[in-house]
Amino acid sequence: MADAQEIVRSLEYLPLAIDHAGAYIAARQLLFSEYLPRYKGNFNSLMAEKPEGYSHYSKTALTTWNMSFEAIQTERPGAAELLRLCSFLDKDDIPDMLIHHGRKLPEGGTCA
Amino acid sequence: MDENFPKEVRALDNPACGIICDTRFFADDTTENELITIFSYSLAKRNDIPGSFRIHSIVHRWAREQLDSTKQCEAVLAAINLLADGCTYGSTKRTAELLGMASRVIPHIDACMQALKDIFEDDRWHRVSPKTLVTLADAYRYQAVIVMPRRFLNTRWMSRGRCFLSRTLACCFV
Repeated sequence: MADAQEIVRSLEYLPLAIDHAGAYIAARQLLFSEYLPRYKGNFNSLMAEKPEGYSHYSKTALTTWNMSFEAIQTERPGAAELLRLCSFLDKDDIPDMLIHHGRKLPEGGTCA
Repeated sequence: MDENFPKEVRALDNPACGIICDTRFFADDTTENELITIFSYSLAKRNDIPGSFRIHSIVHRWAREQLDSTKQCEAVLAAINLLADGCTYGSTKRTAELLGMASRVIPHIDACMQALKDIFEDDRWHRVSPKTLVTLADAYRYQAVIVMPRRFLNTRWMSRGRCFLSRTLACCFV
């Protein structure tokens, strides 16, 4: 319980960050005590990489998001690609059927 | 009808129209498993309407901003491609499914159009051919909004008469 409280405190009680952290812990089957060192390591490396690049976002939420996204990218690269693609669609009602029947990247990239 | 179908499609499945929809969204497991992975990390969530999902606005923005300019361009084109294929999916299949999909696809076309607009207003995109992209997007929007519903309505008009047309138009544009 103390570890869980420490995680929530480190995440500055942000609902989105807590949601992502909880999902990450469940998906990776981690102990609470295993999560915090990972989070802190990622936070430090992210801030070292772009210390001012994300000033308009919560750095804690960005870290949890980044950890989740990297995990997805490692676990199932197609899922990361799908999420990126969906970020250019409307965010509220994305039909599964649309994704299934339309999901193809343009041949050779048509960014001419 | 299967509860996994979007509400709009189920609403259109009026026995009087003789419409029956497919009962599965996914013919293969790959896309389904990719979505399950995304949901498991809580980067997207299922909607109350079965068969659709949503992305938190911040996640939605971050996923886009993590890409460099070239990748963003490719992703917009991929999204437009996806919408075009999604719109035209099952052109030989049931009217209700297609009309339901057409009406739900419009916000996504608008989002792609907005993304294109954002791209063109950013100096980093000067190497992208605006004419090509806008023409492409306009063509797909036209197809989704005008051509496709009209084609299916015309088909049904011929086979089912004016009553069906009025009912379908009402469902489509309310």
